[in-house]
Amino acid sequence: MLRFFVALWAAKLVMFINKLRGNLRDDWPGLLAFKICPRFLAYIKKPKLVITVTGTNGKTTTSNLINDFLCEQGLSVSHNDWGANLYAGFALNLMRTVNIFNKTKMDASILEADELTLDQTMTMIEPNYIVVTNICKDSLRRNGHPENIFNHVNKTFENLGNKTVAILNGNDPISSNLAKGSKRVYYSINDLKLNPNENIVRDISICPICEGEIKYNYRHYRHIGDFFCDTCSYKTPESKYFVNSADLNGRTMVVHEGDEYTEYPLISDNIFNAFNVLSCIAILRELKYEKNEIADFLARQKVTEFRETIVEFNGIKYYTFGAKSQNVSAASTVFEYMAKEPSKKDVVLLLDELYDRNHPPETVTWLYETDYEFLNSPNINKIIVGGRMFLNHKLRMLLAGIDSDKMICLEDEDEIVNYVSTEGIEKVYVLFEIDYVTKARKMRDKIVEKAKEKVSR
Amino acid sequence: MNVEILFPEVANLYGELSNIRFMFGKTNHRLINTHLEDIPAFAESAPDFIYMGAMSENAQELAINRLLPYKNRLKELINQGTFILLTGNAGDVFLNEIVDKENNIKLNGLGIVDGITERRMMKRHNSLYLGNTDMEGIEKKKIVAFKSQFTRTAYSDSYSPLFTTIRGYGRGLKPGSDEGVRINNLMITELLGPLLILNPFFTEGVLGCMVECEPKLPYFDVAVDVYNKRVEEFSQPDRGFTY
Repeated sequence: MLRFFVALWAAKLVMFINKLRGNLRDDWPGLLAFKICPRFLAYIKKPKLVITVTGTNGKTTTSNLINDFLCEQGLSVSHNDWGANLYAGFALNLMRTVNIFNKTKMDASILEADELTLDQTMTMIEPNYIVVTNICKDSLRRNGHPENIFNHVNKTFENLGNKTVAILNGNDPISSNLAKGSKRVYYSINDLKLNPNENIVRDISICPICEGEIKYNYRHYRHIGDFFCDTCSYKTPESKYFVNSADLNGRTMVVHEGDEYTEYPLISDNIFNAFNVLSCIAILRELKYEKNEIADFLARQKVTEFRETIVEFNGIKYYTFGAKSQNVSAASTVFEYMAKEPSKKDVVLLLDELYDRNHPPETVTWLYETDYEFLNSPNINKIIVGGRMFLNHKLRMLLAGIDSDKMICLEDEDEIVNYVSTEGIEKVYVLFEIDYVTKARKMRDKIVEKAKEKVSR
Repeated sequence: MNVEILFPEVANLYGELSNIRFMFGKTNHRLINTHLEDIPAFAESAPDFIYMGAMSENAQELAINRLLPYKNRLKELINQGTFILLTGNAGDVFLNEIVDKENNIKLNGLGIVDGITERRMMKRHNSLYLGNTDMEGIEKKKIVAFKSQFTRTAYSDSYSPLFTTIRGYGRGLKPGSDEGVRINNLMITELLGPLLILNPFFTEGVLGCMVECEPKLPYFDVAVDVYNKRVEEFSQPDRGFTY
């Protein structure tokens, strides 16, 4: 334990110095604690309530909602909301909840957690709840494939057993099969007649139990839906929290829980955020919060500005919209949303990864797992691609059957503003790689400035 | 042409089936999708081209089980010179053994190709690849692609490589070692890309060996622009090569 306390005190000292410098989001104290004491996460005292949120997509939105609700309820909550979802981020998060004597001084900790390292970290933390939003195709380089992610997350539950309650998406044939030895609480959504597109690459195609074919009574998007195996009994499990009906455009859904039906507001008009809200409702109801309190809270929420912002000028709405390049499922789902959202629009793609002299250029397999075919939609007026990977996007779009007249592919991103329509459309979406929020906003603002110039002339 | 794709429902990680869409996008062909429960078309006839792409580790086991009854037929087709392309980890299925080093588990492969692969799920390798092809009948052009895998494969030294390496990691993930295996027209490579889209000259060359007329690929000019830019980039001496 001496090693642990040395780690705690050293890390706390660095935290204090960082605080004086106004740098509260630096993971270095957490990393230092880990270097000194590799089992730091096991020894540090945990608050009464520790909730982990993991999954391929939706964990940031879901953990933000849970955190904001608990804070509104007057709880003191530590939340790693600065994107540090590995060991160092957890150590820093938990260090905030204890004093120098390792005594708990906060009520709760919300841990947004990376899936791939979950088995190493959560086995030490032993959270009360783990919410798994979904498991989908993600980055090639890091995650390989969904079965690999499943194995890591499942190993976590095997290690934790009954110490942790699993809150699971019953419509996901991959993640709903997790945590067989733990208490499982499911949530799912009824058929909303969304008529989703078929993806070129499936996240799961054979039953994890018997290798039969996975089929659907209905799908919401990708592999998420009311599934069943045609050769064994594997199917969507019974859900404690079941969305009986929803009006995505009206931003409401009715959740069937026990004998009651409750209407809850939604934070946006898309199905993937409906799942995020539902997972948040599930955990908050498990914590015994009142339905009306949750509904009141949700009515005041919207999608974080990190993901989506909007500016209006001259009758056209200009959006920045996070799309996560390399994350195949996220990018495809956003492309599908672009096709299904009915307004006439120009779509700007700013999806290149970091690039510098010594860095290897990005792998492009993700382009061929992502459904560029969805962008071949009559409501998409023009697709403008900028950045050094422009030729790769061009080839991919041509192979997806998109008319070359509809696409503008430019190496110099600064040129993009010259090609965005200023009439005949209702919206412009700047889809951006999630690491480049500021760059996307600057681009969107430049597009708006250009439109203003044109009008003033 | 008859083009058989083995197990497309599972052997399509990383968009690998795009290889086929690209290669045969402008060719009159009959595409045969052989699913896990199907009897392979090659069992009773000789397709002009057989393809299997990257898959999960569980799917590798399924593929081995499904192909095992046809092991001798596959050997026969290889001897007859049928074009067979295995990309990513699909080639592991044809080896003697797949050894899971973390869990000490051995899985017997088809044993068609003499070699063993070692798998470490906690140790993924990611890198770029720059090489050459020396296949007869194919224009000698550089090969550019990516590697992303959990395995290291040791092949018998007696096999010709599919590619010779200029920079990057070939067999056994050794820097500069030859990449892949070629036995007659069986082509095994761990390279991802999709390989055939990233290397239009190689694709054109392989297709040219199979068709009597002039081979044509969709959007060939654009694919060549992409290729040239990538070759230039991968050839920069100070370019980072591993992630």
